[in-house]
Amino acid sequence: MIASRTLAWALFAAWITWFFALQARLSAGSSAAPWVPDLGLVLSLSLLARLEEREAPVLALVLALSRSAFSSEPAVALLAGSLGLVLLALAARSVVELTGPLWRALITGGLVLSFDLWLALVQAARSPDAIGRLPVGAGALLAAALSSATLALVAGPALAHLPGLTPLRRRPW
Amino acid sequence: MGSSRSRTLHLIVFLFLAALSLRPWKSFEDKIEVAFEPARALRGLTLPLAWLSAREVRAAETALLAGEDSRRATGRAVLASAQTSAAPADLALARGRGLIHAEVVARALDDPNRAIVRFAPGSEVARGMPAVCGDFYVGRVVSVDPSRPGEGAIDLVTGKDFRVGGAVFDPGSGSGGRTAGEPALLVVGGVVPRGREKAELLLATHCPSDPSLAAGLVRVREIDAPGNDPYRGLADGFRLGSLERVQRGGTNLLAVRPGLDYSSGLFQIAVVCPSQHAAAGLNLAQDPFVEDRWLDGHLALAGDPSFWREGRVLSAGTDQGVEDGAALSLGASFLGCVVRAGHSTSKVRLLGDAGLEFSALANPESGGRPLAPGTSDAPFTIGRLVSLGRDRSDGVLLLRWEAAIPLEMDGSNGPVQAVLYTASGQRAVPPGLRIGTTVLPRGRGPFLLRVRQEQDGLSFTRVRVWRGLRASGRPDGQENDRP
Repeated sequence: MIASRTLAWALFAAWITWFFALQARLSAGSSAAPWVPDLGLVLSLSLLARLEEREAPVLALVLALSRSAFSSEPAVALLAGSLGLVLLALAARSVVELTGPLWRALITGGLVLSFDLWLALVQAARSPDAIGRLPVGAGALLAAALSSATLALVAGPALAHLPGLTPLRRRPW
Repeated sequence: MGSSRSRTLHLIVFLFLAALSLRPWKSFEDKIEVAFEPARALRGLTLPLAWLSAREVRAAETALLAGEDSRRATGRAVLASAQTSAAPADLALARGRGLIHAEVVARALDDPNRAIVRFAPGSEVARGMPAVCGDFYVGRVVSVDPSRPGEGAIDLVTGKDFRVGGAVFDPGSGSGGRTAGEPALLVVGGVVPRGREKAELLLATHCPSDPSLAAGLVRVREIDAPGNDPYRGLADGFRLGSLERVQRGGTNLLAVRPGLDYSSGLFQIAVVCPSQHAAAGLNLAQDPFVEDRWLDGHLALAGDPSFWREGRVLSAGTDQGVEDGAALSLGASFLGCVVRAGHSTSKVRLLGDAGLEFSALANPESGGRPLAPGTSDAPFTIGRLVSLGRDRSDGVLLLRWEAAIPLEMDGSNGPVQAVLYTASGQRAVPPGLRIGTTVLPRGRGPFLLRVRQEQDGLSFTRVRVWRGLRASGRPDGQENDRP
């Protein structure tokens, strides 16, 4: 039982690493970068909708670790962001049904917006004299949230059913 | 997290981490970075993605490296030319004096008004010698580190306790009991309070011999100063700036408007010494193109999951000699800096990552000639540039330029087309690396510069990392380098 869950987490780490790599590659130098959905976060939130609450911190840790493999963000900011994201998602899950298409899309969009806003805030806070404002516009943040919400709407259940993740899903869809 | 107790615990952990993210605690953050570093091995899983674009990446790298020899030669020529701006243009100031070229490599960690400079080892630089930039007085040598040949510290005139004698050559001379042509005397040192709004930097004045002074050109006059300093008269005649009256905090103050940007535009200087001490020839203190001062590195997959950032992961760390702030280049082109060096991998910021700061000098292409500072046809320092990101529609870099000292060019009145190069001022970034072409507006800034690079380097996999004098085994300094 423990071995199968460990293997499932390892496979989740592999999947999310691939998703972040793909997301980074699609964004690099592209004028449409804000419209690239946050694939890694959408996958995480799709899984979180069915994950046991006691395992949510593991998801936050794997999320932060895999994103840091490609990111120049400070590790502590990624860790805080992913833990905050998971806590918000759990709070939302206790109020609405995240497996339903509408709520799934709305919550995913809102949380992606919050996560990106958090990282932008940290970047601005660490070089206040240099930037003096958020390094990314509200329109671009909304575009990323919208595309992520759309992806969650269309492919959320499919993402949660990626090969190897079955032991992590506890609640039926 | 089944119980409310565990939720509370996680909330506390989150708040703690959030606070540390916004107000970094270096030692704790270093531990987290070390703990996270093995996760970068996960990149290995995604190698096939890199293979997909390998051909176009190689083509872009090859295109940038084409004509590399001429680009290096140009970089060296620009650097050598920039060094001439340290010497006074007014020949009367150079007469009978020796000048030792020095390059500011950093500011002292505990005192931004103290500059760490590098000069040719063996130069007879001594404590008390004045330092100048062009026709302008900058400060004086306060120490020469015997453990580091070719390095010393200079106290700038902006320091709170710095004092230098001055003479005011004002149009109204003859007032205040002076005879016509006789300059008024005063003492200059420190800066006038800038207030919360961070008003422009002006030098403070003390003890004017004529309280009615309101304007005039201020030059150093130390020959009459008390003491046994053998070098005190060497700076006489160099300019401090122009005298003016300003309102600060409801008070009318007599201040000197400097001709230099002391906060971010001071890189090439000359130490004034008796003529028999002068070093011969130019000193290319940090030739950016010496091969053994560079380390070959490899960048991981292009892009950053945060779409507005230009970060990469470098497959080399402190074990290979990479240090925080080290410059990244391909050939003679500046691409970015290491933001945090881990043991075997490092985080890197490319030039389009908002918040990245570096110093630059400009080489005018349109035939314009800078009148101040430097007053020569040499490339001129434009000071600190801050990246505000990249215009995604056309890929140009957006850089903020403070332009504290307005650009004045003779010739045409229009903006100045120029090629930007890195300047000295950061130990880990060598001067002379090409940044890109831009148009420099005139007048006082801040301005937004649109800089076109030859290649943005966003997808490059091969880079070189500056390791500078570490290559020859010299230890780190205690300076405040800006990464």
